[in-house]
Amino acid sequence: MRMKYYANRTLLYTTVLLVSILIAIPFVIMLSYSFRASHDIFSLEIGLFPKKPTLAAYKNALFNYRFGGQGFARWSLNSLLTCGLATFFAIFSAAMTGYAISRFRFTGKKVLWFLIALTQTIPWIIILIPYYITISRMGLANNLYILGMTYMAVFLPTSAWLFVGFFNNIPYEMEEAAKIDGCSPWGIFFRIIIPLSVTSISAIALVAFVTGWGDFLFASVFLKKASLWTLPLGLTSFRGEHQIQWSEIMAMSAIVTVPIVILFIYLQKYLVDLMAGGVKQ
Amino acid sequence: MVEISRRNRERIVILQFIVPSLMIIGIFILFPITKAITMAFQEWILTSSSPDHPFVGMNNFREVFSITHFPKMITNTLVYTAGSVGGKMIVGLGVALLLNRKFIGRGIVRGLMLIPWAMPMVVVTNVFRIALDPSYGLFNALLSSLPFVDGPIQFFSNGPLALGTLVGIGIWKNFPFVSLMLLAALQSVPQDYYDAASIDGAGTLAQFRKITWPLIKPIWNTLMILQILWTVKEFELIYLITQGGPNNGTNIIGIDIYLNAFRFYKIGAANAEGILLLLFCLVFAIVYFRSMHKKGDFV
Repeated sequence: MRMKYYANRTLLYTTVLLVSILIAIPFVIMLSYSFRASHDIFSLEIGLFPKKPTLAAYKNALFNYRFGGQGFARWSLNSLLTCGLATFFAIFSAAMTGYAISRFRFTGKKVLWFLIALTQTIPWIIILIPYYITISRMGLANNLYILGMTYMAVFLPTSAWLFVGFFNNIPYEMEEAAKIDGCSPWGIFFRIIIPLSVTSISAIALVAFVTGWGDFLFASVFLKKASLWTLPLGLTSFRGEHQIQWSEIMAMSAIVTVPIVILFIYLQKYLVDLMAGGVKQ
Repeated sequence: MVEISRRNRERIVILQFIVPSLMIIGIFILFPITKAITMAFQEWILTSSSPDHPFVGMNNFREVFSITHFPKMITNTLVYTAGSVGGKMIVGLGVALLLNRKFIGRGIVRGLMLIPWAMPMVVVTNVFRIALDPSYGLFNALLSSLPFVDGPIQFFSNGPLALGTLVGIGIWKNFPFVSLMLLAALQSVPQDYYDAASIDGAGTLAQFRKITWPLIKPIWNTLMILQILWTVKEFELIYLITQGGPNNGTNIIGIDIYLNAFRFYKIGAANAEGILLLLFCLVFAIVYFRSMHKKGDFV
């Protein structure tokens, strides 16, 4: 009996270890290359852990690398502003809509809900073409505001869907009490619901933000000028030359990825609950 | 002063809550969709200066069907979607079952699982391009050192292997989402069920088939539809690694639409393909919508 228990445990931990390695290895490879010197990048003997780790690639990626006269500083600013503002407006509208769907009875609710399910699943490439043609006719191509508004629309359906699931799981009693005390729906929403849900709202905002943070599709079509590029476009710019600067790419990738990974892990519990709420409803 | 009835006042409040979203969805999503549908039936020659685009009936669709690589592209799309969705669902379930067991360090592994999800696609594609490179990729070197592997593998130089590799990368990138959802479903299964079953002498497999599976099946189905919808339109992963090559071997519909529209400027054909994709997605979106409402107590 005891033997069997230990055999079971050993098997379990071996599987867990293997799975963990498989999950993490691309991330580790990214970090590994980012700490190499450029002349070591093609050497296979070095293996996963560079013997003389160096921060040179990070320095180059952050301060020296230029494409079309622009570099990391500009692109990260563009990315932060565009995705940040888009997330703010999308989350705001999505929270209100999610709340309305979860709490109020009204005609057309089913239609609205279907609209959200549909737009959540629509392939964006379909709207991209008419969209691009319209904005270039209006002279609005190469415009970060337009990209931001597009992101806002892209973030909205999924966020609203998550908010519905989230609000459905909040008990109604507190609002009922506030209502009896004469609080208006707006008052309930802003004074009770929003302050109560700050962490979950941040988790939904993170999911939205990350969608834009990694977006290549829209940015590649909308932004032709290097001064307007977002980080994903900057990350693909290392390619065209004779030699690809791999350690710099990996260093910039690490800078782009690590903060997001930390935020994800920090908000893990809330993310899982939200996703579960989204599917269960 | 006209007195506004209580019911109307309520309606105004509700409207205020949903108007911002309705405006955003209307302007930025519904309007372009209707435009895409009309564009699919119009002639689009970007070089001509005339502003009107005559309706040409089904011409754009005929053009799409006559493209020589069209059957290959459709096959690729279906193979990619089936392989990727199947893989994500199975790996997702396996990992969810593993993480539902008790072991030391479970929280850390659950955190690790968020890494693929949090990594931007541009970063993922760059990492795999270098790791799988035949002459200096770490991963490729590791594989070549195995006894039964003959030399470095050219992952992206022949169609089927390239498509298979992309399926694998796609599974790695997206299975955490499936796992997290299934894990949440597994956690809601009461432990008593399992205790009762093991007293009755049911083995692990029997417990899974008789208890776990029936209880997580609804979420599994919803998830699978969502995954089909999110996979069939795959673009960034493939575009950033192979751009649909070699020889259209990894060309799936999302790539073809993008290349037709923004590289070859065949706007009409691109929109026609878009409509085909839209129709496919619409069917699944309706199924998805219905599965969200199965319980019926919601709306």
